[in-house]
Amino acid sequence: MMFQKMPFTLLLTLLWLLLAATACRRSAQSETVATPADNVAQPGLQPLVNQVARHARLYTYEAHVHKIVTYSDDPTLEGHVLHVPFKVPARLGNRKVAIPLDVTLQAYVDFTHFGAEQVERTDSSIVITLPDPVIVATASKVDHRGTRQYIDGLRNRFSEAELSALARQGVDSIVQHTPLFGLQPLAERSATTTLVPMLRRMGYSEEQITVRFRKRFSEAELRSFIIRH
Amino acid sequence: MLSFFKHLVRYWWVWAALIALLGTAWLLREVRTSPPVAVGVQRTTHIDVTAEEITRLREIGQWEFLTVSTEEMVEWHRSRTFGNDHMVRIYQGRLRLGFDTRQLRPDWFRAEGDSIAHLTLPPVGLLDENFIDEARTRTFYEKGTCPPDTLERLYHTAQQRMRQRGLSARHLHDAEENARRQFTQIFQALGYSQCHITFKK
Repeated sequence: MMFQKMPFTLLLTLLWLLLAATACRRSAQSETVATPADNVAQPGLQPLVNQVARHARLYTYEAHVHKIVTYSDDPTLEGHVLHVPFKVPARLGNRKVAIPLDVTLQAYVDFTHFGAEQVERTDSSIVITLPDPVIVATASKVDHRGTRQYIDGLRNRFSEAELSALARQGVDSIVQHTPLFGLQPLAERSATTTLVPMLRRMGYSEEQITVRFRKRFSEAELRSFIIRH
Repeated sequence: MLSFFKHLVRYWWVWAALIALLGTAWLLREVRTSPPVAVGVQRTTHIDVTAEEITRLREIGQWEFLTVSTEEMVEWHRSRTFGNDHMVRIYQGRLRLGFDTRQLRPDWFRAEGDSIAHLTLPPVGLLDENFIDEARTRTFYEKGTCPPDTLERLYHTAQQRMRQRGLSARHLHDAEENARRQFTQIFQALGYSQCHITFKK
């Protein structure tokens, strides 16, 4: 009876030992994985994104836009009790911030798909039709030394994450208002003044050169062309 | 008839319970549709409307052939007597590689007959040192306070590292090759069947 039980007990012990060994090995592995967290503190970190795009763009005009982004964080508690409305400050004290911001806007003409169909040549003249200039925000800079925060005693300072989110809204606002700055005709004129000397080197005189831009009609303009019977 | 009313009176508690149930249901419905008390925190996350001022306008003539979009993570730590400050920021930048037309020499273009063009172009390089979009910076970790001078230093560190990585020999070679391809395409469209391009070193 004793001999019959022995192998089973032995098997159970061996199984337990095997499981314990596996568990120890797993915990040792997780420790080694966790150890490289120290690398995060090292100054030279690997790039997270590295995207490369090939194209041919002629940048013709540049504008620097300055904006002071302001924000007031003054939350209120609003509601009604038995249909009687009320509005009180949600927190004791408010906080305000002003962030000076500089954005660089640049206009370019895309030559990536430039082809013979955009050039009309005769013996005495050349007409080049270009796509409309595109205006993009190429850089932005926050003036950290000029940023001012006005915080009441019981409130926290704005975190850097909050300040970045506000600066981002400032850049988006500038990009939205780009059509109001009137950069499009300036960029077109600048593209012409860049291309004309190139074409003159090819033997054309200034009177023989015409650089024009493709007109992109707005939805309203397209609607006006539709004749209703 | 009398017996019916007797039954009604006998089971009065059933009727009372039914009326109480209906009353509670009606009350709940009323409270749900128009609650007597409603409270909510109103908070605006939008920035105020402020003026946007154009501080500088200038004509440029820059040919761009390669754009390198990249991110850089920089870290700062300061130990103090009580506690410490720590900041990890991820900057985003777009390096534009090409050449400036102001660098073109007067004899940069030479035509050989009507069909062959010889171009001598300036070396390809970084078009604008101001390439970081700081407003898109993500603050990954923040503890304590970070002085403005340090934020400026972090910005310049990120700029330097991105510049080093973006202006690699491979990227410059790619930009040059693309410039060669694009200029050949442009000059073929202008009527030249062959285009020989040389870059000044």
